Amino acid sequence: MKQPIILIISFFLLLFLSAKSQTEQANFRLQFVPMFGDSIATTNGIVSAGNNNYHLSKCRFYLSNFQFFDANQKLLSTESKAYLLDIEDLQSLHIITTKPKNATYITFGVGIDSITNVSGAMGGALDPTKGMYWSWQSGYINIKLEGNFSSPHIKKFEYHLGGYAGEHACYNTSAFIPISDTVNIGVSLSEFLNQAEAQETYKIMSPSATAAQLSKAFAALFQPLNL
Amino acid sequence: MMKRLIMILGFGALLIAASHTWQSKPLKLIYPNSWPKPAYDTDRNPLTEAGVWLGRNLFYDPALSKDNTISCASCHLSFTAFTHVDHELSHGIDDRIGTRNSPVLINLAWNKSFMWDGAVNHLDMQALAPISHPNEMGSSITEVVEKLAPNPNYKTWCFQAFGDSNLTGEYMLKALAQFQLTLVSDNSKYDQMQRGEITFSAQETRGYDLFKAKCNSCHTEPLFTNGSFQNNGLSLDSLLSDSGRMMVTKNDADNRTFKVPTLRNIEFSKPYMHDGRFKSLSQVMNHYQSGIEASNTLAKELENSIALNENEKIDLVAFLMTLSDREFLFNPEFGYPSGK
Repeated sequence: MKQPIILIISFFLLLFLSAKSQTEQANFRLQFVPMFGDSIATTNGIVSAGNNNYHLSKCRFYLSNFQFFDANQKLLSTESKAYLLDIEDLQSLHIITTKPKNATYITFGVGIDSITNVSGAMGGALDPTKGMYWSWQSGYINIKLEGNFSSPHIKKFEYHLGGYAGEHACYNTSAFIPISDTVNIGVSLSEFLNQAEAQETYKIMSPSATAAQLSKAFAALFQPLNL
Repeated sequence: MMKRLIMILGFGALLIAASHTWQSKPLKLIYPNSWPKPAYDTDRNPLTEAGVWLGRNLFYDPALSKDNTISCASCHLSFTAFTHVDHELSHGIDDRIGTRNSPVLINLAWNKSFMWDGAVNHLDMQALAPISHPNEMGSSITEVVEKLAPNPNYKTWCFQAFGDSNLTGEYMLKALAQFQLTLVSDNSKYDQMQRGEITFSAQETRGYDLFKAKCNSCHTEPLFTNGSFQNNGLSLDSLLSDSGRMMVTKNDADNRTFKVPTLRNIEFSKPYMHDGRFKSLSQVMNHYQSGIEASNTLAKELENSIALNENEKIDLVAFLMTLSDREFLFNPEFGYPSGK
């Protein structure tokens, strides 16, 4: 006799909760667009941006902890999910989720936070089979960018940026980005590569101070985009 | 409104049905009351009979290596305290030799970091290192999951363990961790003495007193390690030139420091040290007595050599022998899985 009562109560509780959350939520579409100068970045062919020519062969990065804010930049909600974006998988650049109806700003983490990094095996986008986890040393690779500079000189680049501990932490939060029901967000890969090349860094494969500094630079390059 | 209620009722019924279609017997990590709480959070990966069984099968499966020749058990044998006995440096596929002595797998639930240099921060993630290392299994988690996921046995075991027949990297790592968490050694002569079931001989008691005075600060009871990284004064092997924990932290203060290993079952886990340079416990005693090499990262406890006369060395070794746990070493539950 006791069990049906508990069941009925929990159904109404569920009903209440689902009704509550449904009235406040609205569908939300985010389109991420990796850019080279003024053009959309792809892994096909050589792209010019400013004085430099690039060929990109790989561009994958994690975004996580989407946070929604109202007009006064007061936090409304946090989505603790992580997304793996891959320039070669256009669907992965297109995130469909929900947001609180009155949300006017969004921020997101670029990379994987330190708590997640020390909490053991995860599934979905965070499954180590996705190729974004170091094996010889624990930690997610937040950003993988590989390719060649083809002018002014030919040089291979390979940036595997990650690290979660102390001053080598590579997790950063984006700036506040104004949103409506849909939003396009650009990230300038050419600007990032210019910064990396300016300090003659071509290869990063493990956590370091340089990796932390370049990760910060990468996170700062996410901006609303008018297509 | 009615429609929504029906939907929710239906969803609730589905949930109840789903929770009844698969169920694995939960297991509890059993250990002495006097021990500290484990570092591993089993709430995130609850131990079950099916999870441990899946992990045990993975542990003994050579399919984890590129050419299907090497399993975890190749270098971590149960009856030698889960290490590669008689090999200073462990070898992997194509007889390639690594740079370090394979560590024992004992009481891992209490380890805060893994590998001699602590490069791995969680038991779940530890298996990634040997699977990927070119001198060990030379494969990758992606390749291993692709290879094992279609196998009907693994589909069944994975479903029994996690309610999902689709083996993923997450399930594989969690199952391997579950099996390794069960490798608890707590029934040595030392443990029996602590529980008041037996008494030490006069020699063992003398050895225990020496141990408490000279070794316990790093090899701290009851786990016989404090989990810290120390330079214990080994001379640098110029061929291996292993800087230990410094490779992970890039901090000079960690140069040539390695994780303090547990001394449990030390009788069975030779050779000793991160590079397996000592073949016997008497060589280890001699090192601490007269072989310590000074350097700026040397553990402060070892700045003065440990004074031991010949009789004391023998007493100390007699005590170390009380850390052997035959029930652990020959536990059939830890051996090659068969007949299920």
